[in-house]
Amino acid sequence: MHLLQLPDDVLLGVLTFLQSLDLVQLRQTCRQLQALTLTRSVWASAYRNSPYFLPSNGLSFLQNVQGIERALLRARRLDQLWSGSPPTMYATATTVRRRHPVAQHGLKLPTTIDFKTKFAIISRLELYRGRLLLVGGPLGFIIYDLETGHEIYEYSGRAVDDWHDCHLSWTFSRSGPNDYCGGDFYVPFRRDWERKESTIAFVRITPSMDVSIIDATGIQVSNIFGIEMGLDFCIIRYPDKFKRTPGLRLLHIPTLKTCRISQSRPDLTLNDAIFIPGYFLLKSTDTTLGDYFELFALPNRQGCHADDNVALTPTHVGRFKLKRLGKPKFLSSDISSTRYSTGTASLTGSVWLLAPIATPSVSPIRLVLQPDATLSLHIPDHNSYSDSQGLYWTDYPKFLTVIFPNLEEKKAKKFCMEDVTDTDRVVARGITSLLVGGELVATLYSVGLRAQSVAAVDEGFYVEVNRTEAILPMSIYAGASAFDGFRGLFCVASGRMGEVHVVDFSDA
Amino acid sequence: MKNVGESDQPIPLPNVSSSVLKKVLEYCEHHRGEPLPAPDADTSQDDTRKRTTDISEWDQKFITVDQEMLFEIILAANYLDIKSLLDVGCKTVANMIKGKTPEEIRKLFNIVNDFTPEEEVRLLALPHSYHQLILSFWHHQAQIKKENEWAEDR
Repeated sequence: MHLLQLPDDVLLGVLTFLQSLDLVQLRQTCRQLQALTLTRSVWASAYRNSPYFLPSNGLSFLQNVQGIERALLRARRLDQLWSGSPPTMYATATTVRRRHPVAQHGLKLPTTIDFKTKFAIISRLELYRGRLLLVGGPLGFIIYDLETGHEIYEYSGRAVDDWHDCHLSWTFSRSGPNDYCGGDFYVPFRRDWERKESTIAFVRITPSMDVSIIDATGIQVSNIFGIEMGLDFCIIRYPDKFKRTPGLRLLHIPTLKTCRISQSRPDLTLNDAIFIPGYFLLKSTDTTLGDYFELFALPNRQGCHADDNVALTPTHVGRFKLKRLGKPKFLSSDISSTRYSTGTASLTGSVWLLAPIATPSVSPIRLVLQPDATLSLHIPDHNSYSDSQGLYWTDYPKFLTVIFPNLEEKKAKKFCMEDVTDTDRVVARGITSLLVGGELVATLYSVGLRAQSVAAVDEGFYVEVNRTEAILPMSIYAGASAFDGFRGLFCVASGRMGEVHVVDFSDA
Repeated sequence: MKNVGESDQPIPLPNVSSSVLKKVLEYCEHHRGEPLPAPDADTSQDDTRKRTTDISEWDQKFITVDQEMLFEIILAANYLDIKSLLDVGCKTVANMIKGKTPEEIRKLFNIVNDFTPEEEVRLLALPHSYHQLILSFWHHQAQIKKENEWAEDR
């Protein structure tokens, strides 16, 4: 009697008790066993048997055996990273450990940073350029420089909505697409909280970590929620009872000059503003006519005025009836200006965006500038990602980060209330990116908590950027956490004790 | 077994030798009175259940036999549809495989390596390069993806 004389269904029964590494070893023994290890049920059971943190619904989108195998082996490898001293995610120590080569980016990061936050509840974490960490509490926020571990700015508000519910879009100026370290960085918050009219102010942090406050005195906004920011600009809405005509304004933050934005229809509801070099796109909705994309040219600083006489009009308008088009993010553009003999300039080119469309999928969409000043929309169907329920986004220079919270919204809220040592709970997913031979190669992580350790597993994520096959970075959100797609930092807060932990996946 | 249990007819066991049957009966005798797994439990819930390779102390002692006997017991358990004994057997084999290199597994079970040298090199190169896998992953995604149904206004 020989092992291989056992019937195949019995051998498959044996294999379902094995884990990923044993299966890999076993299939190198002989052809018969190799054939058996290609059975999906074997790997599916290895997935379920695995001691690592894997999303419970992971099998539904791991289409083939190789996908499961890769996820498991990766999970195992990452799990071993912590086998010596697992990171303590929810203990009292507030230690930040990081290991990765940063020399090529001109930043030197120490291996260990200790800092404490004074907030008992951390409602928001943001990582920027792998260096700035914003920790938001209910009444204010603190910005840390991770390079030195020092607090560089603290803002204390007096009302909950002074800052932390505002759309915190971080923006940077004068930075080329490859210049990760250049550019200013702005955090908007509400000033003059005790008055009825709220004015807006910005914390500005320069690349040399100089902090200043830009107070937009006299520029009242109807509310601070949903402020769209990009490059050095932000889009604000004047309140109805303002001395000037209500409506959208483009604000150049460093000079505080404004331009009136004249949309193609008066009753459009602005959903999103997408800033691209030299231009900005407004995505608006008309209840009956569908989505509008309007392309405006960004004025130079002199083009912005403090009065309402100058109005920006769109150069291209596209109207699309799309089912549930989510918040799009800019990928790349190749807009060029052609000057005809008649003296009129014409824009040609296209803009690539990434947007969730008709959930649950996210797809790159391409807006092509047509000669008749319209925009046409193209959606390649082959590279959407199909697991995008409840998308969150963050931007980085050149890279884009897409956030897929793995939990349903109810669960995500519940998560903060529950015992965090609860096992089998995938906190979030993230993706890191790196440039390999001109391609963006990204790693998608599912990050979970398991008995004070963190494990991660990757899957592929593929998006076409400007005809270059690329895989995009992706980030995570659950309770208060942040993911730095550029550097591969993962930062998570307990939400209870004011602890912040930065875990670095960049060399994983 | 349950279909024939009440019958006086002898059960034909052409594939089970007397020594193996003795072992199987020993197992059944020890586990007599234990509740049977619910009907269809192994088919409907198998896919979501976490399978551990833990074996109880008595079973462990019981199954400590030579390979020949182990496989015979598994075969008999499979033939007689004794799910718990089959599981014990499979777990034992799985435990024998665990943590071993391919060469050690071959030696243990006397398996002949029937790969060509080229195949072996390819197998050693596993896992495939990360990028290749992503390519194949997305290629697969593309195949199953339907035509673009969203740009319906165009």
